[in-house]
Amino acid sequence: MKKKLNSISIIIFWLILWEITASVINKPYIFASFTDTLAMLFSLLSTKVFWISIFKTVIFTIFGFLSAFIFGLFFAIFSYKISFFKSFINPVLFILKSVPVASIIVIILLWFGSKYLSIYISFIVVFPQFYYAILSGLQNVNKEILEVAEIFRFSFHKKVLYIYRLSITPFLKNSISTACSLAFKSSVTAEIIGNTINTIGEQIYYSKIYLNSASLFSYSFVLIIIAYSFEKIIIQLINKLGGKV
Amino acid sequence: MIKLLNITKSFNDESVLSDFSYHFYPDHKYLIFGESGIGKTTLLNIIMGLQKADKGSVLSNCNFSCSFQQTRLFEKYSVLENLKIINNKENLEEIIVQLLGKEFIDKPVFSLSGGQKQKVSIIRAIIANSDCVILDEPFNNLDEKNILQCLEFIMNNLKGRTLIISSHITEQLKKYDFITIKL
Repeated sequence: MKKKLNSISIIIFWLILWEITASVINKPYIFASFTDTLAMLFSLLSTKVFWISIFKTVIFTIFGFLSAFIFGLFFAIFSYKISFFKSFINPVLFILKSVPVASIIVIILLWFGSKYLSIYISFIVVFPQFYYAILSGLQNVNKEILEVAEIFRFSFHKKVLYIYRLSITPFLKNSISTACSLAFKSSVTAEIIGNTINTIGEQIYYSKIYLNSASLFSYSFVLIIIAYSFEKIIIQLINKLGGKV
Repeated sequence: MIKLLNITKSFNDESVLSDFSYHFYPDHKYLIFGESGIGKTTLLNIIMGLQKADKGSVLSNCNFSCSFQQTRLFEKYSVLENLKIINNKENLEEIIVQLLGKEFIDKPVFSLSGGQKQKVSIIRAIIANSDCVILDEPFNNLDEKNILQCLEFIMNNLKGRTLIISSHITEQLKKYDFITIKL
């Protein structure tokens, strides 16, 4: 209870500071106040474009995120089983990890256009995270427990359920927070650069063009809430499916 | 039947097994005994195929089940879950009550003492579908009363399988007709 009160007081402090700063600057087109942002958010809630933008960005980002998980899983399994494969794809992963997201966005724009940009970008940004987390989990499987599985003739299903899953889950948990926020951040960045139609990125881009900071803050706020909720759902899912770790 | 033919194994140039041959027959009980570090676990691992001999061969058509010295249980899972992973058909709760007590059925394995874990490990080896049960130092951390209780459980549930026990404790085993192998 005390912890909750503390958190609420901290949030209230920052909101008051925001309000004061906005009134001191007194240029709502550059720095909208909290109340202006809230008003803008409520007015946006009743527009069709708001919901379409949210829906499109969220669906595309989640699609890229889940595809990255599936590909990360299979690539990690191949790398675990075939060391040549691991060495073979290492340079690609190194490039994906090192090249600035903006460069990747421009390359994707050049090659594939802006229609599915946020799917590609969230996939490319999150894929290495999942790949390395799952590979680390596989490489850290308890060898003694694997011998137990061998002696007691565990089926493939049992090995996955009781050995590999338990080994992978802690590594996945560690990387999931970063992966969730990266997916949404990079998706929206891509949408802004690519000016993708009917997306949060496009709305933020228009906020810049029309000097509408209240709209910019509103969309950013909604994005934070979505990314946070998505992360919580994924963590719950991992806790439920990840077994007793 | 398990045939060990001229098994030789050494670690860092130190010979553990040298030209060792032996035949294990079905429905027989074997006790491998000897001082600590003499190579009992190595021999059992070679029999089960977990370690390779430097020389010699193992001929076997057996399915094994085993109680390892370090128990190797699924620590976060309960006693019952650990056993269910191996065999879901047996009357597991009854067995747990008989050897450990009712309160242990749903207890996670990490919360058990060394002796209690050892008992779970023995139960796991016995309830598994196998032709040969191998118990590596199964009586570590157990007092005499518990050793006798475990032995009775093992003998009552062996059902014609080959039993190979490695142990430095031999006194309590005397009343059973073990074929002894000294290393």
